[in-house]
Amino acid sequence: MSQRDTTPSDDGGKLGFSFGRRDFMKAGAVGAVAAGLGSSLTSLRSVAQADDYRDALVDHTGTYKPSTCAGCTSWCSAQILVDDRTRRVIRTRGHEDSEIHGTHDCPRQDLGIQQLYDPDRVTQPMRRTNPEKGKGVDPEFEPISWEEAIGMLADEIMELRENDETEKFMVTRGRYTYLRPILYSYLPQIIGSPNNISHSAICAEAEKFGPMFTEGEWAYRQYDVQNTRYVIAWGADPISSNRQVSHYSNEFGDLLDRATVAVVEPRLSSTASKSDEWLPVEPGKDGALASAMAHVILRDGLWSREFVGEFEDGENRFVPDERVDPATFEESENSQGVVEWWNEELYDKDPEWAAEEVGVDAEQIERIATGFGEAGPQAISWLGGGPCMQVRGSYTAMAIHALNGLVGSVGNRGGTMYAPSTGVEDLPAPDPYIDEVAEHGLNNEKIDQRGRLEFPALKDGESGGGVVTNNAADGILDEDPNEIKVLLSYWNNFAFSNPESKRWEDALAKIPFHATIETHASETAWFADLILPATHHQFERWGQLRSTAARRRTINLHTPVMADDPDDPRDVLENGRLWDCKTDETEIPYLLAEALADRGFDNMLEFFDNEYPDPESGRTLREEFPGDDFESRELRAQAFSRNAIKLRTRPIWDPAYRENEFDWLGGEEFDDWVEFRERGIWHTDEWEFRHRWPSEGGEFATDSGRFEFDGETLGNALRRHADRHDVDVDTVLEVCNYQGRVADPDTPDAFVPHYEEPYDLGDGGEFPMKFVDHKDRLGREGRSANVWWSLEYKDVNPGDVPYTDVAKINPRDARQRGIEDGDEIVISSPAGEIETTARLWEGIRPGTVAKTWGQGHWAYGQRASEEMGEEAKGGHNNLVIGAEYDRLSGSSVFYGDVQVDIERR
Amino acid sequence: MSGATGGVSGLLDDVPSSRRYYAWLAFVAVGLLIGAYGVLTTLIQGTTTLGLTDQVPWGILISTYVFFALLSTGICIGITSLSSVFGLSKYDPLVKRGIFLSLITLAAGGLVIMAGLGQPFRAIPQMLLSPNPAAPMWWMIVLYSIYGGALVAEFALIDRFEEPSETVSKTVAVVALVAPILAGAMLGAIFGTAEARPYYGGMFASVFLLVTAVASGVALIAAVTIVERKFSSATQAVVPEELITNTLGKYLGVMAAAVLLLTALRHVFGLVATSDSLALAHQEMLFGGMGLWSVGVGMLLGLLVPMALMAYPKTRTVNGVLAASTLVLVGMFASRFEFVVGGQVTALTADNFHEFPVASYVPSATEFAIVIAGIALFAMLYTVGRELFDLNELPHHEEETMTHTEAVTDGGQDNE
Amino acid sequence: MSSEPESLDAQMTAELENGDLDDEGVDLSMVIDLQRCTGCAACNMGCASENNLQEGMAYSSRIIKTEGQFPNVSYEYTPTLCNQCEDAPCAEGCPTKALYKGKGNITMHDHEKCIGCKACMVNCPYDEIYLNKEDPHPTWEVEEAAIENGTATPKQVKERAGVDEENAPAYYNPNREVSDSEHPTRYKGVVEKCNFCVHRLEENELPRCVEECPCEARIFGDLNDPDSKVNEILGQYNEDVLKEDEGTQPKVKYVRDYNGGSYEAGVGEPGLSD
Repeated sequence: MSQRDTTPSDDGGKLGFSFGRRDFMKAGAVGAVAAGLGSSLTSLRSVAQADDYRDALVDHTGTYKPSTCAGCTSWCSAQILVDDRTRRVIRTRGHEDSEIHGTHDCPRQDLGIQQLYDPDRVTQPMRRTNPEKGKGVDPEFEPISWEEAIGMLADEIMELRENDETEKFMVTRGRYTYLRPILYSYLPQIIGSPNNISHSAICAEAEKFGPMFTEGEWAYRQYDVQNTRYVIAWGADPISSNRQVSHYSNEFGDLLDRATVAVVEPRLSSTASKSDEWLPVEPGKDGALASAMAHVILRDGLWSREFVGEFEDGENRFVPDERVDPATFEESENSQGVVEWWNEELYDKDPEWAAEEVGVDAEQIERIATGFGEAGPQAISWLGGGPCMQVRGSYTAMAIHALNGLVGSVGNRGGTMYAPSTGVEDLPAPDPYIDEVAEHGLNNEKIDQRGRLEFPALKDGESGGGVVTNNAADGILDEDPNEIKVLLSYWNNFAFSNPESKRWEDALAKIPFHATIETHASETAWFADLILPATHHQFERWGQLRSTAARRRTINLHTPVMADDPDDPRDVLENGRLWDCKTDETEIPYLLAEALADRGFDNMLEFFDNEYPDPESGRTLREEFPGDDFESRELRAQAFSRNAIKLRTRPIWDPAYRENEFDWLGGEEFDDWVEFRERGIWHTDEWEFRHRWPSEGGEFATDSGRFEFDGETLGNALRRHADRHDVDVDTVLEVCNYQGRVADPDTPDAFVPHYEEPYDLGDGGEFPMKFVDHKDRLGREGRSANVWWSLEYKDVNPGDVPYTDVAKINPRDARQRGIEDGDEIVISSPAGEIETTARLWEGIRPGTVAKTWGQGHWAYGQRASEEMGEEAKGGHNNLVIGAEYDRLSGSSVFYGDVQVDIERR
Repeated sequence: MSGATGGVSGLLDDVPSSRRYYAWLAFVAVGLLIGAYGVLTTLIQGTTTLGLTDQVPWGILISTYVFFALLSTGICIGITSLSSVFGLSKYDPLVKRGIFLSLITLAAGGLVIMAGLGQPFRAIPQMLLSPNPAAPMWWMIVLYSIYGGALVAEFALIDRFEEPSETVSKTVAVVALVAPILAGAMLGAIFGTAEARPYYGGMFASVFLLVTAVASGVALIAAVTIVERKFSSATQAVVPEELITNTLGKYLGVMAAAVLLLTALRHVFGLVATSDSLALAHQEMLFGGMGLWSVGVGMLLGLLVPMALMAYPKTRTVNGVLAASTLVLVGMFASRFEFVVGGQVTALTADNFHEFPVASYVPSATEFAIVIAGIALFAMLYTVGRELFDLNELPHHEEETMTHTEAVTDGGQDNE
Repeated sequence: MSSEPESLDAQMTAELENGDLDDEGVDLSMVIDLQRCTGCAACNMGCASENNLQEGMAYSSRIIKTEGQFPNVSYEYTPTLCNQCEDAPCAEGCPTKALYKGKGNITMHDHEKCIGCKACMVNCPYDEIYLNKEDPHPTWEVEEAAIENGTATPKQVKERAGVDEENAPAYYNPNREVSDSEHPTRYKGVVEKCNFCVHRLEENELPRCVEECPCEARIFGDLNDPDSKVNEILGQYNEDVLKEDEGTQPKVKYVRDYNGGSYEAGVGEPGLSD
């Protein structure tokens, strides 16, 4: 509450009839002439407020407190301006000390404020009273206390443990912070379930496949845009979405001066609209383009001799349609297999062939490949999710990323890099607290069936190493490998965010007990028996994420910014959150641990109390807040949250620990917790160019230790998976819908980066068009549909219209179908159909229909949905995108292969 | 004749009409009620009750104001001053009623525009406290105030004084001629200086509005006088039929023709303009949704038909003139709307926040109610006025007034 | 609380601190570098939050154009705001001087003098003036919740957030209270428009849209200060203004092209007029 100072206000010496505002208000009050009539009401009202007016900007009286935006995986370090009088969040911006983005945030971060103060946020725990679960069925939620809510969940878990069926417990994760192991890994481990399913495979795992099987990095890249001279962005839209949008947006204007930018994308994306070259390829055929570019680079001798090698006699034998004798080529120690790549894939893939295949000019391909090659090694082949979140996307990812190898931009100045390693510590692990019951449960197969013959999911080259998120729905529905009885989902909305999401609605309806931790009553929450209101990650909780760009990685803190002293659990519980919310990854597991202990199972509570003391004072949670009333438990839970983040970041702020107990690899150094906490951001040293090159004494994380154009590491991984199922690699590839085979002259080679034709989901006759899904620039990972700015400014997505869910169609296609701008249309696919509005737009390739992802909510909030819980507003892309997979990576298919038809409604 | 009772006696002579008279009073009362509703809801709820948008901030209230203000202007410069300034005594019988009509149309216009302001109670104080001489709107209001004053004086001189000083009368009359001309010109300038909106035609707006003002003024005084003649023998006695059929009829016909020409020119120049948005505006107003009003009512019914009626001697009868003048009034109301909205119908920018290329505007029920308020106020004031004053009284200069009247009356009878 | 000294914002803020807004002849201008702009609308959201704009009003807005035919398509995003015209038709036509050329040569609006006649809206060639047809933010007074006892009513959110100001959203920003030149939330019957965040300028802070722009596409400063950043930029590039032929002499100027790249030699600048 703001205090009222009653001191007479000054009117800047205004005289006579020309009123100062405050006088005017009073005059208005007196001006009974107008009393009761519209115009004067304002004046009457304002008298009271006039006395309370500020005399300084909040920018000057308030405090900027550090936190982090998780509106996308840029995870920008943020500073939140908190009002000194009311503790209200007034503004959020990029962190001024960030070497990556400074105060520059992207619009998504600003949307956070409208999320925080969104009236449709869940304000306290709710329990379902209507046993019937279904879309459009009112759960008849009723409010209950946290104590009751946690008790309900604990009872369900105890029952599983008593019946020795803990594998029937499941945790699903969405966006997270790096306190995630507590809820996502340790909690199910201690309870005894292998079933912790992340969202990763509906994010962009296939994008990691390319670098993994060329240079051994299962990770996202960062790109040295400050030093590059050529960029080819493949389905990547770095000024709009993912990753480090804040950094790339700020650099883009200069990049255009410095470099040539080409964008491969069937729609005119934000980045394409500002770039030099736009290659609107037919969806699913990016791989052909990549092969042709590699062909040109080798044919014209534009490859990096230093990184790739050279013919012994210096004569370029990469002649179109001719194989090369490997003996004539002397490989550099940095890479291997370029000749094999040429012989198996590239030798006949010339621009003319590609032009035919992908539908852009041969000479444009020629021009870009040449420009890219000449700019090398300061040239970036920028891999986005678009070309590889496809049935056969893994190989496309390899082909696109291999271009960086050809020009030697891998880890090089002006090229592609990874993140320097950071100074954060792993959280204490629960191994000693896992009992036999748990052990027994943990031995079960995971519910997403990863690792089965048809799901290699080769994360880090390990069979079944990665998640197959969307397939978990089928696992649940088929009770294969087992039934799921209790689900705890957090910060995700699988009933909305998975392709063919109807399957998740059915799966969720089938699960007997489902508790969800969310800020809003999402589609997923609509099926829940228990809604536990989550704190908002940007303003109300402890956590840690990281940003990666400008040759650095930063460690970014989330802090409860509305509390005066975030270290004081009392303060945080009183002032740190708008409503009666709790933090998913820490407070809720802790309260659950206490409730389980009440019921006779205290391993988790022991674990937390023993392993998570305050690293500064050494006090355990119970020492800090003794007492068994629920309030003391809540305080301990918040203290646990604080201790966890301190332990996680300890090397950064605790000099003794840093020097004695941690393998410190450099970066900023802080002297105590408060110093670091108040700053909220930590920087690594700069990424050292070329340090992983064998020629510089480094090594790549591949099986060969070199950059592989021949897919040696992939070959080994595929063989391991095949052996596990007693089949050969060809069988694996056949089952998984790939065209490549081992040593078959009529098919692409199974191991080298290569082009495979799109695997169409749907018959081209019945569904003649390709569906181009793309993410909303104001999307906040699907959480902003209830936020008015995201609707009011929806037209920041080129071709979109404010407040309207539209499908972008080329006028030529529209004419054929008699569709006019603004017509109501139906988009149908084998998976389902949606209703939306037609937007005729030249920025989209004929034969394709593009639609921004994120509309079509039937719950989540009153703005997001037409009728909360009942009727959707707009069309939801996932209803027409079928549940298929790039099985080598486990990724769900969003792009390239989705066949649709459109017609007027 | 004794002014005070003239009107009333005139009524009493005409007993059968009295039932109609009370019906009329009831009609006016209903109008006032509807009007009051419109005005009050807008005052309390704010202009959200109006159909206006950020792209079309001026709607039917402004056009109705223009309609009334220019009626007033037109009567004064087109009829009364001919007698009071230029001594064309054949117009004497129309002078007092004309001045009175000018006054109450001005009042009606004032009500309508005030009701549409966001902060009506600030309007007058701020005009005085913080005048902006650069703004045509400020001048318009000043000039219309002066004009209003002059009208009151002019009316009082006729109504209250037996022998007013010639110089005073003349001075007042001259002011009552010059002020409205300038005021009307300023009203035109408000639109004309809006360079962002070429539809208004720059300085041509002032010319256009003044000419149309006279046409509507002549129409109003003709219509009212003819109706009065039907009710009251006194009016019949004072206003000869010849004055109506011959003088006013032809006058109206000529003015209708002039206005039709100007209107046509405006649209032709607009349609062929190189500025796409200007051409689009005229297309929209002529052939778009507005076409029925601007072409059908505004031009054909409101100008072409009356012109024809007045051109043919056969139709230039008393009732013919009544019909013609009524049509002109209706037409003018429509074309004021076309004029005001036409300037805003094409969007200025392709801002995705706004409609583009055409901005839509539909008057709300409340807006219509306020329009009715204006009309009802006019009707009430006139009804009261004709009770309180002898509107048939002739301005007393030159003594040959009576004979003149007789002469004309005879002439009138000849025609029967 | 200030950025590193070398940052553009810091340089421009320093200019503000060294100058005096009330000095005669201060002539503030905003230059928008379209090549740096990425069309993200952060400016619009910053503006809305700084000025407590109600939905549907945008001092900071945009004009978007897609031209050409596939595959030769150009897309152009032009950020817009009140142009603070040297020759401001809105001020000229305002009968009560509610709109006037004020400090820093900003086209200011005095809500106390505004009678709501809307002449300014008719006179502005850029559609940059908005009318408060009703008291702002009525939706925040609503007392119904999406889920009874499970979610909050807008009114409750305001109370929770400590907003007692009426006509304000729950994330009400009190900054405008500081200045006598404006009303913090405005009220029905008066128009409103961008004034370069004069309440910030008076406290030596940049307009919010300038600070908010992630691309540093907005350069702000005094045209009469030869060493100002705006003059530096205007010296480097050809300037462009919206609707130059209107003769309003906008103080919001544009340099370079949104389509910063050269698609192919010979492709000229896309024009800027509406």
